[in-house]
Amino acid sequence: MIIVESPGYCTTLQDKGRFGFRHLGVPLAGPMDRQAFELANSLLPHEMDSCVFECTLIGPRFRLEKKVRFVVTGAPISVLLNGVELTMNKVYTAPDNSNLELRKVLKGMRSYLRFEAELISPVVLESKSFYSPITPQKCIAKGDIFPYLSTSVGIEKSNAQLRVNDGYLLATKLTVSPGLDWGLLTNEQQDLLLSETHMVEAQNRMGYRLSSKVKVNAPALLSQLVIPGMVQLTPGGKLLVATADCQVTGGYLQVLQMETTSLNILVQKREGDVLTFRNIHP
Amino acid sequence: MSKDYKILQISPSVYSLHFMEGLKPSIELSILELRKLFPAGTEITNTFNRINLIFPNEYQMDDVVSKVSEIDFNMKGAEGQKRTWKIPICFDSIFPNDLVGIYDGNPQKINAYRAVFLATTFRLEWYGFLPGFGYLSGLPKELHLDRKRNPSHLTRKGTVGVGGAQVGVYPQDSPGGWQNLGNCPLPWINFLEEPYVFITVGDSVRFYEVDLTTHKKIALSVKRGNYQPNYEHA
Repeated sequence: MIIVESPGYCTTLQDKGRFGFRHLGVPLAGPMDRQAFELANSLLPHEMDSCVFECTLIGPRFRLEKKVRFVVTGAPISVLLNGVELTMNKVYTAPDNSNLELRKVLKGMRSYLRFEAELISPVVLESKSFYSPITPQKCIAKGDIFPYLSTSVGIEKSNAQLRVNDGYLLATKLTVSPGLDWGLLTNEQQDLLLSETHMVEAQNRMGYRLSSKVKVNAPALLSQLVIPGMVQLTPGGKLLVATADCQVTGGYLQVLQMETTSLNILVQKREGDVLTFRNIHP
Repeated sequence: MSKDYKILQISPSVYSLHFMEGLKPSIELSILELRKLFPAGTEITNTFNRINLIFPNEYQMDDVVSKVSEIDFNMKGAEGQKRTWKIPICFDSIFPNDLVGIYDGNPQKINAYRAVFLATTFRLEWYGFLPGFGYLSGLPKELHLDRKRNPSHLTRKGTVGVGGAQVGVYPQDSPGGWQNLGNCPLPWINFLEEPYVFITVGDSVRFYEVDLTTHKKIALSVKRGNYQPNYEHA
């Protein structure tokens, strides 16, 4: 089993997310950075479980009782297995009674730790993805125990590393296309939104708040569907980019929709980072 | 015949059918028809005037257009048995009551508001905002209340709120911008077994007043798992 000795800064368990329940108001959840999640799963596939630990800025320290393979993807983070420093995106085997420690994220925001195992954690609405109060916990806590099963030792992959493309971690241009309410902006507002620099003011798993100089006198709108990647503009002139845990509906102006690959770039940004938009449908 | 809806593309895998003002399709029947046309695994949700199609992967606009064109949104049909749910609300002063501020503490006005509220039959339109937060329509115009200028930091689970023309019950503690009327001890969603919600889209809701003792009693039997919500056939 995995014993949590130190939880890090809001480490969560994430599988693909909760598809099929948005008609009940239930957020999708799942990994913020889907590219890092997919990479971890392709390096260590397991037919029973796609779970990863999503680590934010400061990773957890685990005690691992039984031998298990693992990999760390996403934002570069210092990883120590029994005191020995490891590299990212490479599969390692932890022997019985190991200490696995993920320290500080060096660049970016979110790192992903995947074990080649079926992790035991409550499945609620067909998913293990943490989202309180649907799952009991918001983040892992010190003393938590995650038993794991059926480590698959089936296919021993060649040692050749997968070609890892992590250039996106440094990218600052986000690709967007017009949202449903784009036409409610004036040409000047549209031009400004696409040419100005946006700073990350705040972020969590529900969304990113970005600065903008665009001010709108928005009409009162009916609440409509919100999906991850949707960029909403508030009357106060803030941009809200919906991410994994976003509410399923919202009433702000839906000005842009971000491409999924760009959303992976965004969720690796920290408060204070700056970025720009690129419109693919001018 | 002119089309009375538009198909909007939100992303390569997400579309909305936007119904023009004036068209009042049966959302429930339309969703049943849409389910037959699109692959299993397609999420279908709705708001007041839109039905949303969320595909697991990219989906072509042309395919959406041609499939949706097979549906007659003016259809009438057997909608199935509708229910009117009897939902408890407690006005005890231990629960925040924004009517006090709105009506300067005038008890006649507060009681008059509550009387009309309790006499109203609401309709569940859709779930959104939070898991199990149902949007109810049907609030008489004189009972509409503007949202708070500054949302409150914490609105308690069970709070029955009014936001403009809409009514809803907060399924969990949350920041909230709606005006608080009272508290409902009955959770509208559970995450452990089907049906996850007992009120389905299109069902009716009537609130009835309970005192604090009854509120506590209901909350306790909910906790023990032996509370059955009451309904009548509409």
